[in-house]
Amino acid sequence: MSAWRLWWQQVWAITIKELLTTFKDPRSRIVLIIPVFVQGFLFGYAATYNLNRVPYVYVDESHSQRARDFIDAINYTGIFTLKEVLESPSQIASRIESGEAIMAVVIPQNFDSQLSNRSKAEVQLITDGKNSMTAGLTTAYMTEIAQQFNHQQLGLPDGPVNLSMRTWFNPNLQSSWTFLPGLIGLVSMTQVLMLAGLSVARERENGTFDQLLVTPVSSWQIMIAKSIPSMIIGLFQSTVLLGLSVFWFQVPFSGSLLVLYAVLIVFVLSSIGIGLSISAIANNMQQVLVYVFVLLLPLALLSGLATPVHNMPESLQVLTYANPMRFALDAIRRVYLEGVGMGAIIFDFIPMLVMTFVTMVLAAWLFRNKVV
Amino acid sequence: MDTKWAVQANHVSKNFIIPGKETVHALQDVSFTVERGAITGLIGPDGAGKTTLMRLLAGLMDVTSGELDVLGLSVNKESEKVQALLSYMPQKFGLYEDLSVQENMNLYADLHGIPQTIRKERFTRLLEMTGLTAFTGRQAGRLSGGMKQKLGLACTLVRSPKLLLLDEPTVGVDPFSRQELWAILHQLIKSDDLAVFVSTAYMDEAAQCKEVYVLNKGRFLAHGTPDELTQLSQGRCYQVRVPKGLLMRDVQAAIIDDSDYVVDAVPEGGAVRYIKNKRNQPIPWLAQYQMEEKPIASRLEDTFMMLLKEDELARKQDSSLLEDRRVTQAALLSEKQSSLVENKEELGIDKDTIVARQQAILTKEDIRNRLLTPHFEEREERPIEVSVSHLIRRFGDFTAVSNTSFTVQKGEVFGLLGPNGAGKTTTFRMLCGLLPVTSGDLMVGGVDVVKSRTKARTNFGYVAQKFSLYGTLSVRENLNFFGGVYGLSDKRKEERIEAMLDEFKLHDVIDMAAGELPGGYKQRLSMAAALLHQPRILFLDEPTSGIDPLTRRNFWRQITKLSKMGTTIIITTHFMEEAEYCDRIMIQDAGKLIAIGKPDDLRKQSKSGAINMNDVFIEIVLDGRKAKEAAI
Amino acid sequence: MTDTLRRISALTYKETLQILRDRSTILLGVVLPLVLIILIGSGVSLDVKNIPLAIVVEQQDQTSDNLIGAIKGSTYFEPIIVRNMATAKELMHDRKIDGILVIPGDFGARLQQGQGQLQGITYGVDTSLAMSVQNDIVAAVSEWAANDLQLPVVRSFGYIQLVPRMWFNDAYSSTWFFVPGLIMLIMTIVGVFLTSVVMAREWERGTFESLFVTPVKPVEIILAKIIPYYVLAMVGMIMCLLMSYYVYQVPMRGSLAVIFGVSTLYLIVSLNIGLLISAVTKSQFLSCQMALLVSFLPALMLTGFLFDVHSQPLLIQYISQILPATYYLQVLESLFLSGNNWALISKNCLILAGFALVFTVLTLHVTRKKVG
Repeated sequence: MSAWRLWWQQVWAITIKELLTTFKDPRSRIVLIIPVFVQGFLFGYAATYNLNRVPYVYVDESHSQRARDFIDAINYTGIFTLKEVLESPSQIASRIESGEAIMAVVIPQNFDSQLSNRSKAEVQLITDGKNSMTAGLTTAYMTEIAQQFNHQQLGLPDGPVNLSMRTWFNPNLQSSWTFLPGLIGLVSMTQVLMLAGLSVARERENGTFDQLLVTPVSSWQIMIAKSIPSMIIGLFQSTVLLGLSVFWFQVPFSGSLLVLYAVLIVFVLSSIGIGLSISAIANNMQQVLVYVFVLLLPLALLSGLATPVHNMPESLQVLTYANPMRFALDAIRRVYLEGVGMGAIIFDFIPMLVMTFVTMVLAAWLFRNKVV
Repeated sequence: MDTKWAVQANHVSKNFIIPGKETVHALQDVSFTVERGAITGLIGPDGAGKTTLMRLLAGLMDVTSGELDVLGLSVNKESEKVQALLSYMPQKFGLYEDLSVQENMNLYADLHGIPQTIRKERFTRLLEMTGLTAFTGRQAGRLSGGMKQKLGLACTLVRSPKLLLLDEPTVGVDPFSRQELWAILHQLIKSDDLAVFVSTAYMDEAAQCKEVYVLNKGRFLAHGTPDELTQLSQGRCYQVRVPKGLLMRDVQAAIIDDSDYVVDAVPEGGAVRYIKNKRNQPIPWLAQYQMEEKPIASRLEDTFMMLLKEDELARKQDSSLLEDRRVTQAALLSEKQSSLVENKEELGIDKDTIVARQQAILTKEDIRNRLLTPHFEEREERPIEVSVSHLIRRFGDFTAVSNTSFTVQKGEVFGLLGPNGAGKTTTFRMLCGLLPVTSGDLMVGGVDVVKSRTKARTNFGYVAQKFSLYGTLSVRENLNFFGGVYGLSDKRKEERIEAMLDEFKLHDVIDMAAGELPGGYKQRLSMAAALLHQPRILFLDEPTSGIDPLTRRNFWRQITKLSKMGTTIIITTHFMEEAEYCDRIMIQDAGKLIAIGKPDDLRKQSKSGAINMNDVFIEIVLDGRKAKEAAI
Repeated sequence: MTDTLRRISALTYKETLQILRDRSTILLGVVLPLVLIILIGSGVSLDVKNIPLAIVVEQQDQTSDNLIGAIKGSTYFEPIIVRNMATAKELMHDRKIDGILVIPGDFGARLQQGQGQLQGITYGVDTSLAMSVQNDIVAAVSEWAANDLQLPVVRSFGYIQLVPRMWFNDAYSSTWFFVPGLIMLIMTIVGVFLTSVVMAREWERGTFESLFVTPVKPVEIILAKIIPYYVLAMVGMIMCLLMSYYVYQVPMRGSLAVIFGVSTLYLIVSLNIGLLISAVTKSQFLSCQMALLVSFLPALMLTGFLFDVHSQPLLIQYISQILPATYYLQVLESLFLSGNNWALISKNCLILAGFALVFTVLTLHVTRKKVG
């Protein structure tokens, strides 16, 4: 048998073993499948910055028809849900503090007279700043409502400037369009880190790693073989999420599957590298779980999943170069929503490949040279 | 409360109901008593139900039926009250690995509420007994296997309970500590009037008990004082001296093979002792090989082996149980199938010849003849397979192995002995390339292990101390895996797996998950996996720790066969009598090699003229320590 | 009683030693909170500033210069002037800009007729970014139109002008609103995740079998687990409090005593959930997955920390109602940003106390001194 064939045969044998140990236990099969669906649905439905049913209260001190019209205009949008009509502005504080309402509108006594006098009527808008994101969006929606009211009900002519806004690649500005593709990266990284991390630690705890190390296989063979199940599971989960977002949440896929999977493969590889390094450093399974967790949260924060990367200060942006998730998210979203080809995202590959290389070399060295 | 008995069990049964599987009857209608102020022993093979019995007594499980009275209380109803009165050492004591020796002991002393005044004296004694005095600051996770066991024991003994339950407390513990442990037990009995119930695999320990129960497959086979039990096998024990030019283990193998006449045989002190079966007739072929049998006094172990073998035979014959019959038939079938292959391999006939002589069936006589024919050329200088020179391993400023050199010849069975923490495991791990050396040269199978570890490992087979195959994989999947990593071609892999399944009688469990196999099967599977690629050198790290005598006999029979076929075997063990099977042994203490040679040579080193290998070992180590002190 | 105390203190001491010796525990309990608060405080922010914006100026004139000047003056934008749409598109494709403002060649002329047309384009691949950019462009343009254009307007009525005010978040900073959520997350991680893994390890390694036959009672074992992890979580929290108060000037408007009180309640709940999970699964890997699924992910997604609960589908709102973390977060947010709202505090504390009771009883029920 040629050395080359022997080499692959050994890798193959370990791979089969890894696959069997991963999939034979029904409990671990469940653990590999259920979370991805739960997370998919949770994020798909829960992760939204699009406002809906925002509870609000108002105080109408003018008691006029126009004020009632204005309130109707607010209710008409369906974005806001009226909770209570208050008697005086002093009541607002308790409603907002308790979280019953997150917006309060105060229509002043002189509302109608001001409007009739052709001057401006100031309507107070109070938002709950405890959630600054929601508060900001609420204000923006309300501004739009007021403008429309001015225009339609009060016959205010179009301003001298008419600004029409368009959003490319996501015409209705649905936040799930951004989150679902991002989720593909987050979920597969979480699962892959955990699997790759535990794969060696579990063998160490069970004593089987020594048994493996006395066989004539090299660290590289062990690593390659251990990467394959993680890769399969990572790609499988990505595919599930992709299916969920395309078919269930109906987020249109505009790119090429080939390019997307190229990104996913490289990304999963880099996650495997990190996972195996963790595995090589940790003494036991508990440590692996903790390390994965400690790593994952900052990685997710610095990935641009929830907040844009270039909002961050320079120093942090430099840090994100070591974060494969940042580049994967960028590439996945752009391929998915924008439909870009390989050329546009080629620079996303470089940091991920560098990370893969560094972590794999580290892990291979640690496998043999760490004295337990 | 003030009765004579600490434990009274009446018709106790314990079933395990596993959904979707057949109910396991772990204990069936057992009744027994444990006397206050005495040590009661429990012996039995793996899976006999010893641990279940201990756990029931400790209130960690509920009985299925029957009455279990511990210290005058019903364990089922008042388990917490009972637990406050007893101490229990599980087989694998759960130490907190990131706590130091001292901290582990403090924890248990606190939990039991030992007053500070008593504590100091007690700790000193326990630490001395376990030889852990020098290691109080070390984290438990960094102790060697045997030392962990001893620490578990020390934690259990921080107080004197009314009842002390010990589940195989001396597995993996060296002879010194075993001696000291038993001394402490006897002392505790005297001073604190407690009851001790201990399960053990060592018959010399069981012999020190007041009363012994023999448990097999959930039922008691016999009970009585050690003397009474010993009497049962009286008149059936014999020994033969080993003629010149023959190896003890070959003679032992030939005798134990002949189940028409004997139930058990072991090498001992330059002779082979054996127990005859019920017919108690002389073995006809001994004279043919110039051997003469001589009756000797029986021991507890003889009775134990006899009871087990006879129970096994009775079970095989009892065909009323359908399940039993099926298993037995499968086993018999596989034995038949295997006889062809195994016999030929043992004769050292190469594969082509096997094919050529496909029809020739070898008889028992052929094998025996081969075993008992002196082969002087084999005794002469054979090629050196393992050569170790100036091997050193340090961990920080601690020297685990200091400047050790030795060689092992091809086909030799080489034993590594030594007290816990002597550096055996470290030496062993370096030999098989699991641990980098600090300095020194290491040639194994003609390959430099230090320089090309991966290449050297092609020649190795390795059986770890703890079962370490993949528990969730089936027997076949495990074997397939090892065939694959050792690079066997598909055809050859199939052949070898078949051969191993035959050899180790694993056919009937082929699709079972390895982790669910009973202890003896696990051990056989480990061997099968290690031998799949026909390694030149087989490394065995305490393969017989925690294994019952029956399985150990089978194990050594395999070793005898392997060595006949030219496999070099390096083995560590804490059963000193097993050193008798080895061609040569090496004794280490505190990282230094203190003796090396044939069992007989070492026996000669003993000034007191000890025959028993256990005594020889203790004497040599103590002499070595004295010499070292004198040098300082 | 003294026996009980002695045993609890012995076990607590043991647990403390284990925590101190295992770097990974400290990492999770102390280092991770610090890293997260630094990341969130210093860089990870939803508040978008310095948006790179391409302004397509088809024909330069005074009006366009005027508008560009106004945009340049804003802190929100870093405008790049381009001559045509193609260039802007390319910039967008290369991810050099987050938005485009098109000033058509006839803008100046049409503006004179009161009909100036502008077009804004945002990058929808990142929705939250697109929303912010959209709002900022609208705001900048209308401000410019209102202030800089002195054009006569013919009106038949007055018009409504909104006067927005954001309460409880004077700095309009998302750091303020992230801090309470972060503390909630850390309490959840230490309480549920770490505790369940640590306890499962005792089941896996068989240390419980040895403990069970000592006179220790289950309640003592549980207490001895709760105490050190309670302290660990509190240390993490105090550090977050100090950091957020002194470094990021997050106001602490409520009573510190109440903050500790309600955190204690929540910790009792989450520690018990952790203990419950481990007693049921008895395996580190499964515990970890369960802890992620039932506590961490919901706490992240469904409590209003990242996404406003009101906007989510009803089913998800119901789920959030049964999460202890939701109630804890509500109290924390109000304590941090608005002050002591006793009605809310007492209601939510009562609910948390109810949860604590239920889970303590369940844990005691499940943790029995039996093996197998």
